[in-house]
Amino acid sequence: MESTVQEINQKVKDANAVINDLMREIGKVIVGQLDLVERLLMALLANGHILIEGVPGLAKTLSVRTLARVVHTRFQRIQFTPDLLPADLIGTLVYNPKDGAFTTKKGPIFSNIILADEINRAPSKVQSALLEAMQERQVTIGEHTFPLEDPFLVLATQNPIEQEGTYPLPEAQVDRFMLKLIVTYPNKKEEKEILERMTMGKEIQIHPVISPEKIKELRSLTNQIYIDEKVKEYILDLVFATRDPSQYKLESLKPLIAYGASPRASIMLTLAAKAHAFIRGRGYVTPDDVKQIGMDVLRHRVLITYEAEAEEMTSESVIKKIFDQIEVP
Amino acid sequence: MTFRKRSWIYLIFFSCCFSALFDSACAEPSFQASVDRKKIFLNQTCALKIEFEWPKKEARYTFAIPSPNLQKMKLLRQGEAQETRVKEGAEWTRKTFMLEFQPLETGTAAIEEFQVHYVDSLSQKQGQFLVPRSSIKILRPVNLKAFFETGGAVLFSALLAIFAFRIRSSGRKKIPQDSQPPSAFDKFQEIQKRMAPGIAGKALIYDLSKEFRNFLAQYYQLSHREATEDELIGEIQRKELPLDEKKLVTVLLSEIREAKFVPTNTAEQDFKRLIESILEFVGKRKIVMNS
Repeated sequence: MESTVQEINQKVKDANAVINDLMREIGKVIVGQLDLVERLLMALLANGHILIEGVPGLAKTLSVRTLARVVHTRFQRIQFTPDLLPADLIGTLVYNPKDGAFTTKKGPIFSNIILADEINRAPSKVQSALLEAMQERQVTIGEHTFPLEDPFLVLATQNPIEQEGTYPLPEAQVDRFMLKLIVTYPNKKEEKEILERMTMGKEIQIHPVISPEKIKELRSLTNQIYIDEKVKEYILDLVFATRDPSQYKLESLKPLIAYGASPRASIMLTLAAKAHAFIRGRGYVTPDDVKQIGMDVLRHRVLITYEAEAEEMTSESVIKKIFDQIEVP
Repeated sequence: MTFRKRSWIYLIFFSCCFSALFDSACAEPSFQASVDRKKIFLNQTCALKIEFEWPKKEARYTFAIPSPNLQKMKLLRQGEAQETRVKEGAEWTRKTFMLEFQPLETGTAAIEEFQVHYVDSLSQKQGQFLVPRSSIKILRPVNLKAFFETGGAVLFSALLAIFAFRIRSSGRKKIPQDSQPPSAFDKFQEIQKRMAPGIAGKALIYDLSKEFRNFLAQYYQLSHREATEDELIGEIQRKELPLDEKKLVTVLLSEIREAKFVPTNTAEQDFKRLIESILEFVGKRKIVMNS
């Protein structure tokens, strides 16, 4: 066991060179937004999907496009609009009048990295088609089921403003995203750097640094990262505290939480914590990994009540209280 | 020079060396701080006594006692005294500072924790002690005249009789005399003693981690239960502390973190090295641990 752990530690340290290469290459285009870039890489390592929320102009789409460029895979951007149909996404059967047969025309979802831009602008039937593909990692067109290629990563963006004519994602579907990221404005220094880079008038050259095979290898290594029983218990305490806060001396939160996090939250928190440990170059998970990533895993899984909204509380403030109360091992 | 004379010269020489070594080893004074009463009436006062003790009769140390932050109290007066006494055949010097406080209102008053800095005039070495936070309950004063006028004396006598009877029937339970909480150093020594030969189990490491975090929380006023090692390191880095001290705390916390969360148990020599480093660290920063 000991040698295996040392081996994993060493492998993780060695593999971290690839992560550094990825970060460096992405950093050529994206200024700041380090958390966003790290989380994109974590999704790649943990085989999860990401929902990115932020006002327009914060490089959400650019970050995802840059990630796709540094990974040697196929990339598709789908602009979600109110008139989009499921067939526009997954594909359809096309009738051939010459032989009277139907042939399958695969949609843009048959790619490795999908950017679902402004996902809340398309109607629920399109959202459902995408979210089903995300969960099952396969698509059925007519009578045939087609598996999606690995890696398959959906990075969806949504805008918190201009809510007229949008179709908010139902809670059950939001739960399928491993992380929900909130992108904020860059600071003054970063914005000055953006200004200088983006007004030069020349395209920044970046190169693919990782292949799909290498991603699979890194994923396998991420799965081997050790997580201690105490850290697992800590994760469970956090998730259970969202369901029954009074058991954790958080009686004041009980009227504020309508629904707590699902078991999928525990799974995702564990996987995300492993990926975080990997990015930090460790072969084992610490409670800090859980804390660092916890908010992004839980914020869309904890539903607050009207009472909480009336008190101007958000799911983030509720989760923060839970993190502040639960004792770390 | 005869053999006997040479032996005497060697003996005197080594005694001098040993004495010098002993002096430098005992270079730090011992420290104790306590409040004389935990409950007082509004019209009474309480005192915080801070005592330092060191071997030999000399004014070796200078102490700087700052005015502590107070809640619901004010500093009434401050005084100091120094005495020399003989303990087990050796001379010891004791310096005592007394801070007397007057309550301002009823409720829970507090003397917030504060640091006492000292300078060793021999070595010019500086050090510090942390006086932990003390809380004192301030009660409304009893109006005895009104009490007796309303027949309270009869009720009081009855209650006193019941109390005396219960004490007698329970075999006169003794109040423990030694209620002084253990020092941080003692707690870590206890953990050190629990180490079984061969390996240090996870439970021992978790106990060590808990005590060390508790110590850091009290000494540096950090988060405790809900903070991870990395967060504590972050807090330490933001404090105005000497660089060496920051580095040392970071190394110790990182080692504890690794010992806790790797799948293997800690080897005996690694644990010994770790706890010895902690004991050395804690030994230089004396505080009384809250349980």
